[in-house]
Amino acid sequence: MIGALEQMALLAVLRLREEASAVAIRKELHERTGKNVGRGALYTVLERLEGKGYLFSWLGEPMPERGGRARRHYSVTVSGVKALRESKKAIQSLWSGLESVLGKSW
Amino acid sequence: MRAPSPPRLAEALLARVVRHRDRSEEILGDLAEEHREIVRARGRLVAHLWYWYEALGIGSHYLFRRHRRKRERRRDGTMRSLLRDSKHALRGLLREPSYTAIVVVTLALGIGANAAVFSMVDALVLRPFPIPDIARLVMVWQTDPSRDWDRSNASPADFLSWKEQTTGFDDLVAMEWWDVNLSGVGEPERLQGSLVTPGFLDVLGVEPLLGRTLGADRDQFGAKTAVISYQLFSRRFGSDSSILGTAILLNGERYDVVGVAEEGFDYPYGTDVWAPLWFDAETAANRESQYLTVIGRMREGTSVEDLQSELELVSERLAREYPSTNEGRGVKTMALARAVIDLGAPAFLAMWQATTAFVLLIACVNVANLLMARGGERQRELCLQQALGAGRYRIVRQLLTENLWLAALGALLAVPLAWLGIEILRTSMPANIQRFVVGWKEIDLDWRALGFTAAVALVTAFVFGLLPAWRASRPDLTASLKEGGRASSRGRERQRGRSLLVVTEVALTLMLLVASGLSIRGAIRLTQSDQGYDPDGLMTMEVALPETKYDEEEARLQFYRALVEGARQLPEVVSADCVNILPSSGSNTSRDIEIEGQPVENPSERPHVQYRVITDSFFETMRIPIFSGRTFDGGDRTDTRRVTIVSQGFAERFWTGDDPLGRRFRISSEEDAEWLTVVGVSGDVLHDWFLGIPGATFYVPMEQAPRLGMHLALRVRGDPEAVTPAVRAIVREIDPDQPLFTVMSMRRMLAERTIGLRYAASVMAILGLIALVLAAVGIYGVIAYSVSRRSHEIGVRVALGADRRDVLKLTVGQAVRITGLGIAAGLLLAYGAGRLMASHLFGVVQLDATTFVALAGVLATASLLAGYVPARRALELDPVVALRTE
Repeated sequence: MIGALEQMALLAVLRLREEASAVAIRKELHERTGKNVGRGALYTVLERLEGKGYLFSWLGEPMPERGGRARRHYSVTVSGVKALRESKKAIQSLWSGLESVLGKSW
Repeated sequence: MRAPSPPRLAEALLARVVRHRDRSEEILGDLAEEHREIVRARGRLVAHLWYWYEALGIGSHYLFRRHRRKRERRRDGTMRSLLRDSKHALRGLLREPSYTAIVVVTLALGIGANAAVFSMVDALVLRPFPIPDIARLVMVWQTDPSRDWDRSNASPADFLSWKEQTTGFDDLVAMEWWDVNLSGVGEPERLQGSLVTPGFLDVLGVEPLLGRTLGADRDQFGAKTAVISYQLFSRRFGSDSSILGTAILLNGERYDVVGVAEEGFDYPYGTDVWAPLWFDAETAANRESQYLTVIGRMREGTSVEDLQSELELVSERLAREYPSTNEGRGVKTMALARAVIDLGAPAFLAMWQATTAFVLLIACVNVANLLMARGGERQRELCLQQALGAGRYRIVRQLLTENLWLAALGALLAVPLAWLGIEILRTSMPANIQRFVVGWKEIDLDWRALGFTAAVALVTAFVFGLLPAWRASRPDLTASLKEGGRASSRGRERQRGRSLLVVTEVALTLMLLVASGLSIRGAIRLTQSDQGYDPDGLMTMEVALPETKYDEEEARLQFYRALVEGARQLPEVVSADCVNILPSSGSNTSRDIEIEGQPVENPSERPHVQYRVITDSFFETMRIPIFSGRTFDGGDRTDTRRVTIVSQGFAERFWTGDDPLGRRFRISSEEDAEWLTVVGVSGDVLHDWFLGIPGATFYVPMEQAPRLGMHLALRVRGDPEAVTPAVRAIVREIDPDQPLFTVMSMRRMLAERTIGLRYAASVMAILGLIALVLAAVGIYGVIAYSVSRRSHEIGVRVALGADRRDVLKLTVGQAVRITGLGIAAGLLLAYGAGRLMASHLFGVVQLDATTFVALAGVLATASLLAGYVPARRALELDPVVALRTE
């Protein structure tokens, strides 16, 4: 089971496809959820996801607007997709039958 | 246009904090990108501020993360190394199963015995009985320093004053002892009862099993109602609930049974019936007679100290208002749990606790010994570790881990042993100790006892693990790396240290053996020795006439005359007499006296002597010799001169060397007491060892001092107890409502009186045996070890022509030396312990050389045997093989 922030980060990476970099992920999360994720926390989460094998990353070309530094790109692995599916299943089964209380949500 | 770059310093700092190169590149790049956009949109200053803000945020996040990880790593490291040490330790222990088993069993014995006795003490002393919320209950005593009273009962008026003039109590209640005769249903019976002020049972938190408790709101003033104990309810009334609402006869008066107390409640211990205590106007004003036991329930939030100071104020006020009675009276408040412990029990328990502590100590010495032996053997292993760079701290830690494991295993095994010990202690506890020891039902191996056990085990491991661990971790490199290290001076020094430990062990063991031996002999002597009378063939029973029915002295006299006359008629009865208190009956009556011609200024210094009321031929029945003068006879009556017979000790104390006959003295506590004239001198009687009562006793004839309660003593042919039914029939004829109680032969009374001591002594004996076994194991260990170390040397000696005797001298000689030294030291210790016991314990312990010598002999034999077994092995050594051992 992966944490909520981890899920959100993975989903954002999937949405952004090859555009996925830390800055873009943060923006995506802000736009979609209205929440500002702390930078430090986001880097930690990305690192952790990579450690778990749900993400892999590679460095692009050095860019002048980054002070000559390369941009790191992220992409979701197969097991990352699996983990997302499992999380969704788990959450859904918990939600199911509670519509009367919580209202229709998906 | 040159792109504005982010603040350098912030970048540098961030790069330092985020150590991972790739990661810091990414972060700095991301920030640079955004910084650029912000500069465009909102200007440089804002962008710089933003950058700093973000850099600090990310930086602190990473710093915190790093710190947390470090901590986890450190914890992991400790756990890992502990695990590694443990694995290593357990492997090592399993490699030597016999060593491990001996250590673990030794520790378990010591700890188990300790935990068992601790549970016992815990139940008896720390949790005396199952009363809800007992922490809020206190007892209030009156004190009177001028009379040396530190716990005296209160008078009704003082009790009422306390109740009215204090605020710290939810309720303050009082009780009075009230032993009654139950009659009207089957055989009459003597019951222990308590008269209690209404609310008493509620204060003690009694839930009635049936009916209700007593209370001012439930019982009309003066009502004769009663609550009976569950015990009486089931024993006498067949647990038939229809008893509620019916009346029973107590001391010949009708009492309505209104309730049955819950099972197990019998406070004050052994009480079978509670009835309300009412104070009429006269009693409520009485400050003179102090006979009430006072108990209070503290108000929430007050403390014993608060109550004490509050009551002291009341006491001072009362002393000012009623100087004639209350001058000098103080007050003492203490927690009920502390106050009710039988004063005799702690002595028993302290003795056991001390004994088990010594057993544990012996066990620890044994273990230390084994650990040291092993430390010596592991020299080379440790040297190797050191040579490979292990620090001293690492080695000590490794060894300590091993010892902790040993202690843990020992403690684990101690739990079932302790449980077994408690079961044995509980099931073997004689019923009449149970009756007097509050809380025996509560004895159980509880978690506190376990905690205590674990603590003892840990301390043991540390104390006794550290020394050998420390020594072993300081291996003498050169000596050990040489194969012949065992001949080094360090080895000898260690051997000496271990021998010294075993000497200590032998000494402690002898002390324990002697202590238990002395108590056993004391118990035997109590029942077998000369008591000053002849207990064989003597039957005894007790009678207590109720005052309500026998308020006339003549009525009492008639009853006892008829009883004695009737008993004397029985064919198997040689003689029969009454006395107010029989020896060994567990109680005593004494008086302050004033000897004619020996005036005493200070009332508190008046001589204090034992007081006995007897019928005429008492001395003949008891076979107590009369040395001079006469015994009482029918001529000593109410209307004749007051006479007395004094014991030899009495005569010697007050009229040393003079003829006591015709001398006079009087009882000083009685108003205008008449002078008593001495008409005879009798032999001294050992009244009661436990009460430590000196022998000075005076006897007066019953006709001149009629009493309500008397013991009947019968000299019987054949089995003393067979006479009981006939005596009961006589009593029934005189007064059908009158019970006989404490019916038993004098021999049995003596045995019952000493049963507690015998019980304590047998527990001590078991502990002594454990110690003996442990000491033997210790000696065996040392000798076996030294034989194995010196097998090379022995081989050389045998090869050079030494014969069996020389070899035995070499090995057994050591055992003899250790044993001799240990026994010498042990005798000194035992003498000290014996002196201590003689002064503190029951006055039964007498130091006799026989016990010392016999037990020293037993110990010496055991020790030498333990030493001889391994020595034998040295004889069987093949010198060729021995020379090869390295």
